[in-house]
Amino acid sequence: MKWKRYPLWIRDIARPLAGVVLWWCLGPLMAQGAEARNGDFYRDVQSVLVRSCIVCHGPSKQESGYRIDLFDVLRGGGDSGRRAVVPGDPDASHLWQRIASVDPDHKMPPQGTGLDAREKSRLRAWIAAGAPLPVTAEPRNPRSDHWAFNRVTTPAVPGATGSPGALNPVDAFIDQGLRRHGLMRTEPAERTRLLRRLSLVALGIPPQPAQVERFVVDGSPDAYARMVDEVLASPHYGERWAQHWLDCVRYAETTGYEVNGANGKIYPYRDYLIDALNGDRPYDRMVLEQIAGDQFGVDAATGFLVAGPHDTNRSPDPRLTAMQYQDGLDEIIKSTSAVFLGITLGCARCHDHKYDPFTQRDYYGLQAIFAGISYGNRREQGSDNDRMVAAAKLLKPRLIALRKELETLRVANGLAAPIDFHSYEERFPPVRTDAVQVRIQAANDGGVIELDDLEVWTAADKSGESVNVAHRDLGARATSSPTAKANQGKTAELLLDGTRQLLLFFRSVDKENVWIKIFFDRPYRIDRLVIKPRGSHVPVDYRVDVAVGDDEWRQVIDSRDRFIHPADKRPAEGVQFTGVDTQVTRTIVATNAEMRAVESEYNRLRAGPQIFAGKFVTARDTFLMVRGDPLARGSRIAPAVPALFVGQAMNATTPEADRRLRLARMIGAKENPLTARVLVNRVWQHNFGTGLVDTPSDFGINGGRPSHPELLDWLATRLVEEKWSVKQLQRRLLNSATFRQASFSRPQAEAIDGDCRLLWRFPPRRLSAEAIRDSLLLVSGRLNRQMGGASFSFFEKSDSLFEKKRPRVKFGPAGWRRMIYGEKLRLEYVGVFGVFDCPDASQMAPQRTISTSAGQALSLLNSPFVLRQAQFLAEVVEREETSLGRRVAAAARRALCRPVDEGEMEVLMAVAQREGLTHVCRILLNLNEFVFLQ
Amino acid sequence: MGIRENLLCRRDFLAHTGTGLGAIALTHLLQSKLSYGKGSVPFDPADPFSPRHAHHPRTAENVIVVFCAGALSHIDFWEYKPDLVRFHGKPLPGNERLISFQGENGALQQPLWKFRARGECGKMISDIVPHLGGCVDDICFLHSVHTKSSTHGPGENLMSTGFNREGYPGMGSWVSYALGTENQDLPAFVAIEDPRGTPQSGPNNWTNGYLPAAFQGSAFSTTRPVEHLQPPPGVSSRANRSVLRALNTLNERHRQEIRGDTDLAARISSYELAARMQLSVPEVMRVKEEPAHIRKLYGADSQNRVKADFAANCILARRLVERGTRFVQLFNGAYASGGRLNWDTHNSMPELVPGHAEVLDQPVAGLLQDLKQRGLLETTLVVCCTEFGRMPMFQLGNNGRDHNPEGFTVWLAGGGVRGGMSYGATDSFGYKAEQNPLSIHDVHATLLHLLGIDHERLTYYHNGLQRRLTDVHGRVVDDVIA
Repeated sequence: MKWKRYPLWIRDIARPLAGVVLWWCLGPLMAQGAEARNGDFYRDVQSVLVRSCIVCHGPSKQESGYRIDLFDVLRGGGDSGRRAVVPGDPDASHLWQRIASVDPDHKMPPQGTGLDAREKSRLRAWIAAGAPLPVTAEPRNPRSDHWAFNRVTTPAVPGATGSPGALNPVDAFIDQGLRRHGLMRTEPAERTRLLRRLSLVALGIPPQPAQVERFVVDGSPDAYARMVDEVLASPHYGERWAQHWLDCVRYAETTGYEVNGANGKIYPYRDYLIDALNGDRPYDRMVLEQIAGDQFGVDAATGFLVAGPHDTNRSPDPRLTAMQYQDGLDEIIKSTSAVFLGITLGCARCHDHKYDPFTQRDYYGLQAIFAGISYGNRREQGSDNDRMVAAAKLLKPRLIALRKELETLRVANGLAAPIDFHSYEERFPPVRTDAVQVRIQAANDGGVIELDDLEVWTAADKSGESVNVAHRDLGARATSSPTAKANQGKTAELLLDGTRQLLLFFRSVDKENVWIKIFFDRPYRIDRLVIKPRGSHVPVDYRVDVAVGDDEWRQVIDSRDRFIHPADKRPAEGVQFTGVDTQVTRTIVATNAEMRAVESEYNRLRAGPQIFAGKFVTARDTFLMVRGDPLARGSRIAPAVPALFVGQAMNATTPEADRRLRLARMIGAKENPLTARVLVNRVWQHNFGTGLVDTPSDFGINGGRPSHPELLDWLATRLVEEKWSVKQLQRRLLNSATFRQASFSRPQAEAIDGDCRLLWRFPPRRLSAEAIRDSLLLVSGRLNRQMGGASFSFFEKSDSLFEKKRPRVKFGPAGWRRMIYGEKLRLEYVGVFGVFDCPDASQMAPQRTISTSAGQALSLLNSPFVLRQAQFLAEVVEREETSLGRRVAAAARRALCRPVDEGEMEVLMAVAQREGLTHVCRILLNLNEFVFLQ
Repeated sequence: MGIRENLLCRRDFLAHTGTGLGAIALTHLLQSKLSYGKGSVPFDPADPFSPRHAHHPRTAENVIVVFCAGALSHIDFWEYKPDLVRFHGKPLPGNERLISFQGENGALQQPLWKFRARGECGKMISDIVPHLGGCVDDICFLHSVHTKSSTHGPGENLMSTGFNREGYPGMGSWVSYALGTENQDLPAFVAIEDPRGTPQSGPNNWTNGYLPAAFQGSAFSTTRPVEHLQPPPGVSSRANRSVLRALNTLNERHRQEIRGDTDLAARISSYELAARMQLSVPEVMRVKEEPAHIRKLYGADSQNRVKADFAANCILARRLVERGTRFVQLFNGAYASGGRLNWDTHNSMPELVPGHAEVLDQPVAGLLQDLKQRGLLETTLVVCCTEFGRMPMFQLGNNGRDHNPEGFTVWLAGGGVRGGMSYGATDSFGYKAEQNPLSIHDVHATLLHLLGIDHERLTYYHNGLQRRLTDVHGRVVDDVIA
């Protein structure tokens, strides 16, 4: 580790750096007006000096007494007594002399290449212009002393605060905040409500009636603490908390964009998260695994990197292609910086960050770290892979034997070799003609014929030159048997364009008797034909004729003189070879089929288990893109972590895997001021509804300020001390009196702190879509607790990629698994529950909106899904209880985890008697109390 | 079972809540925080659609966006380019080997249909749209719009949301967030899909993005009803009424027990709105009950099924606006289908386009005329847009035009826009926006301006920024405002 070489964590400089950061904030804003020169200072001087000099000449370390973060010292100079900046005279300025020097003992910075020519010339121009400073900048503006970039502090736990019933240090901090505003915590929540809350918060499902009864009668002082342990040990814990993480990374199983096709197998990433959280994997380790898990035998974890959307719609348009490449990496940059570090580095793609100290160089430095990642499948190492590879080895001799057998059959029957799959070239003796005809009897799979191009080449002349004369530029024309018009007129003319184009190709209507005639502008001496098949339908039975007169043709090629094409899947009855009888033909077809089956199995085994977790290749060179324009290449950028952080150095030759590893180590380092704070805040938000910082993925200057900065730091410190144990953190929060207080509103408190950021009560909130659905299933007795593996679908199978997805209405046990195991389609809202603010995975959703709409009411009230679950609930209590009254009470107990009172019973019984038990269950599943966490 | 029986009407609903829910919601609203979320518009979560003041006086109250999905050819429809006739068959000067979305392009292709002067303004317009040609005096053509993407999905996203990537709120979401709506019984923002299917970007066109989900567009049309609007099969109206009443009683008890909360009140009132929608939505959908001459005006009586269905959607749009729905996005054209189901005609334009034009022309012209005769056009802004234009050339070896993001036409009518005018122009071949180029952001800024909204002040905080429909761009085109 290189930390020791840098005695400071860079952000310790934040306070003295005040002015610098302020310039950062204001620079671009002021650039438009009269203060244009501030913008120049910001761009030309300050960003350069901060990047190159601040480690040694900043707030924490002032080599030779010089520092660039205070205006007077920056211009006045350090211990040498020489003026650093002589306005108007660069050559007399010590700063310039040192930066311009070529003497290795004299030059600044002492290591590395230093400033580039452009940066130097700008710095020089600044001094020459009189070294103007931004006139509006105040070096000590407190706004720029940004807390989140400072080292995590270790505040002392406040002493007794007077609020009764504080249970742990969390309460001491919270009580202190309340007291400052003349508030107090609310009384402890009633036991059954507390248990329901605990279970819904930590597991996303309510407790079972038996669990409630057990807890209510357990009078021991540690009954609740034991319940917390029990809940944290439940496998459902990982399912609940992983959902939040998936929201943050906008995980989905489809690509997004207009195609929105299936990704490869990405659900192992979801399962990885659930397992890791259940096993309380240290968080720093989870960071490492999600960025570089391929290097630690945890392949599925790097699904993180490719969980975002990517555009798969390819085009020859160079701008579009370049934009898609940039967008693909942008998603990775945004996830990594926002999810782990709570910074919005994505904002620095087109220009330096407007608020936070991140430059466009930082952005592209990070892009260079990720430049070797592409969206694709990779082998998942592990026992499955070992087993498959071993099986492939065992299968190989059989494959070789079959190939030999086929070759023997070919030779014995005097047939030519099958056509070469890659060149697809048929040669014949040179002939002079002005037209060629191809007659196709069958494709390998008996389907229609699709071809990209047909080429007819002239016999080489003396100089060896040969020309494709089947080209429209040379005046060739084509006609054919009927072609498909259904999708963009796939005519024979398209065979003559000399290129393969995305959507432009020939497609026949018929599956046999397909013919194509190509007429040249004049006769040529030709000797070969190249067929460019498209996709997997390849022609396997065809003749080629040349014109010898008006509509008179002479055959020059017969594919039946060749041995069977390896891809030929036709039944033996349709297959013919010149001079081979049907018995032998059958043998050939059968052997070929067996070879194909063995080959495909061999290939499958050899590839091992493939998962969608990013493909890692050698990184391309990275360039700063001017204004983010994908075609406007600026300077070449080496991989680097943003200058705000200190990490192990990298350069253009650092291998791809090392780049990610070094980044992951920087993020997971205990000195990093952001990683622990951001995680603590996410867990806090998960439990209390709003984070201590209410912008969970933005800890920058424009983000929210912490409501309890000392508490955040205290928890972050403990997290690191306790080996990044998330469960330990959860335990501390869930056991606090703050979590255990009631959720009643109090008008006076509401008036002072309407958003309840101070936590004078447990803030109630509506459950998430997942928790509502899972709870419905649990209460109705139909929840399928099977964990992991392939997802179930919320949609009916559709025939076309572009067709609207139809929500599935009826589900069976497979669809009664927890919602996290439902296939996540990007940009689609699942039926019934999607309207409950379920993010569609197009954007990171570190915090869900909670809205209320008539659509939600209609879904819970009228959807067949909810009606069916209500019927199941009625059936359960009918089985369990004998009288109507007891059945109603039992159903309510299952749904609400508490006995209903007399008034409620009266209302429910009236419905039960008049309309039946099912309708009572519908009411229960629609109640505010059922869908609210309180 | 009759619809009226089938639901709980508002009076009935309130009568059974004991104290009267409306009153509670109101007092609560006065007592508690008014703002929600972190945007520039304060609103009450219990009543997210209450009408709100605009930034400045507005000329448009409602918007209907006709979105021609698949990219409609501006040079064959709206923008007359005589040079294209003159240089027909020649390569595009300066871009002889232009590579566009699908690859190489061939020679310049003159408009496939004749243009002639129409209306008092004498606007040259294509014979392919004879009915719309009759409306040119009410239309303001923006001929110089350009966009950032040449793929349909991102292009549609940009036109509908201001960003070519996904997950940003649609224009209708922004507008209903800003202004609420005039009719509390109907959704504020309705997306009407084409009878042929969903547009390329699907729901991302009407997504709420990071705005609260209440502002998501409700997607329904004459051929696609609102989901779960009526009770499930086998549930009697009487049972449903009982359920709603009991539910309300219990929710109210609960709310009082835990001493009030806006979110709980909001949820109670959402059941009220749901009950009202069970009445109001079927009512607004009764397009078939329009008088015969109105149906004929739109072409809803056409033998062409697609045209008749699209015309019915146009009538539905008018009925919604008439009843106070703030924003309607009406799609003409579905998803990628080789130009069969939408305007994406890379091939066989002479055969495919007339079919699409027939579906578009009379119904949209009927909509303009009907709005006008009812006096609604004055306050209803009609926007006809598409994701990008098409090339002045045919694709190499083909009889269709490739995508052209460099220049195309969007037109406006009503809502305080000057009719009978054309603004901006592409170059003499229709390739690139040249005279007064307009970004999509400029179009959005103008649209918001007509609604009384300053596009720079309509913001919502998300992932590090106060976001806007117009990103950091946008300029109001004053010249087109009457």
